[in-house]
Amino acid sequence: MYSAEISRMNPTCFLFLVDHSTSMQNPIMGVTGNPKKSEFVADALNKVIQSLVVSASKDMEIRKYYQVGVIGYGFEVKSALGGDLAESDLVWIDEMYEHPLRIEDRVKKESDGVGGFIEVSTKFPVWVDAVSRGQTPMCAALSKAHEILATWVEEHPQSYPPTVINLTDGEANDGDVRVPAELIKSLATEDGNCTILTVHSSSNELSRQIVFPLDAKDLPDHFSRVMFEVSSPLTPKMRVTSEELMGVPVEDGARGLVYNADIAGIVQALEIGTRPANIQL
Amino acid sequence: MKLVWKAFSLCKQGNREEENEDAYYPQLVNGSSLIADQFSCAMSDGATSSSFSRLWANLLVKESGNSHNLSVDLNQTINAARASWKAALPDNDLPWPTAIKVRQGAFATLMCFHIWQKNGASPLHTLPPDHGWTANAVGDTCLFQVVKGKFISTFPFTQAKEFSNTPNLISTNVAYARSKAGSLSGKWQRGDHFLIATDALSEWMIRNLESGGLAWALVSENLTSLVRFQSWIRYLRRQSLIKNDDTSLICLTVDE
Repeated sequence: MYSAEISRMNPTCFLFLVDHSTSMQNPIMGVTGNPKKSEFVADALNKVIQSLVVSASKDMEIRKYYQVGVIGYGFEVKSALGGDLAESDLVWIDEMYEHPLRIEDRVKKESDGVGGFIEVSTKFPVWVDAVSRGQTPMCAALSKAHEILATWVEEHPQSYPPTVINLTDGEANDGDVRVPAELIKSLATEDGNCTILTVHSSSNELSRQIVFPLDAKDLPDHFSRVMFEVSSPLTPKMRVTSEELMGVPVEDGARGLVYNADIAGIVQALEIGTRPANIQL
Repeated sequence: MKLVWKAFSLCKQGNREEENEDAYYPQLVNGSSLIADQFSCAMSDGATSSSFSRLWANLLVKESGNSHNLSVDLNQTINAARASWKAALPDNDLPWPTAIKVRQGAFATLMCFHIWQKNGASPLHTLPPDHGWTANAVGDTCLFQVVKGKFISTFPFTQAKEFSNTPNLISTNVAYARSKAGSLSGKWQRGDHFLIATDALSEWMIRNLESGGLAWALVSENLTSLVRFQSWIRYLRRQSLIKNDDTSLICLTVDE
């Protein structure tokens, strides 16, 4: 299970659910001066989409290895993609490449090879902007994800199953999220069930980050335990990536949940969830 | 020394033949007889995950196959291939994902094989002076020697468990130039066969050698023509006995 090679014959799907509630406008970890959670998450998401485009790039083309969707949930529940991709729930990765909202010129620091850093100008494609308005209709977002993925798994029975990554900072206010989450996790291809990863961003610098817990008892309250139940166990390849990035072993059965994620935690969790480890050498 | 050359390849199912990233050199007609004091050939398997790796694999085998002089360091060969790869890339403005992939570099395995009858000129005194061969390898493209109808050695891998999704690779990017080549030398006698195969077939052959189920006759009967080879590989894929990957094989026979 979870070993199907990702190819044009058998692509896979990444569906991001992004909390657009008003609380996402607070600074990450509650520290004044930090970027707003909504801005940081949007930036991290744009970088992840960029990485997916690069990994699907082969010579002069972008191969259809992935379909990608971004569903925002706040004052409305709908695709967060804009421009030519507006209203599209799932978009082929080559179309993502063709239709960013804009390409920004940014400056990033790179090693100069002799211990220092140099500033290099770089192109930064933007597909999603930060939004923070409304409540947290997470159940509606998960139900929409279920609707999208039910069709997808039927159309791609031999593919590596879809990965849902839910980026949030709070509690659903439209019901019990475990119900639609179970429906998603029950969807399957021949290679395994759909997986849900939850990245819960921290609102308080003193709160302890909990990464890939093994047991619901490791979590502090009812809400976090619900998030534990919603999240799937990490797949073997996700565990390998986690160990590579974090330098510590991740046990079989550990859930795909980062609770009270700090800046690095959000970035790492996104990479662990999306690294296309199954493209054959 | 009289050698008989055969080489076959089949691209991964679902891909187009022009996307086949296995490469070998030289490109000779199957069944060609070669009379020479020495001969070199090479095979390379370009990595799917990198860009322009088909080009890289082809340049690596061409540079290696042309370096008949055993004193030429493998690093010199690789550096020459790196220069050719950079020169061969499109020089217009590349799309940003392509530019990132080019900066990351292309990756490929390499197996270089040299065989000679008299080696008086070689400065490498560790090599057999006469009727010798040597192989240099990075990655999981393997060499097999068949003596009197029996597989007697495999290189660089000897066990199926050594195959993985992360073999050592040679990169166009010098920052990744950490993989060192392994080498093996030996002697030949008339009637020997030398096989070089990319990982999917090498893994199958080594697995069957481990279980005692690989007979030379079984392999050789599938090397009578390209059509026969391709039918065999498709059969092995259908039976899930080998992975769906570009699959290539060179068979060099020291003629009786």
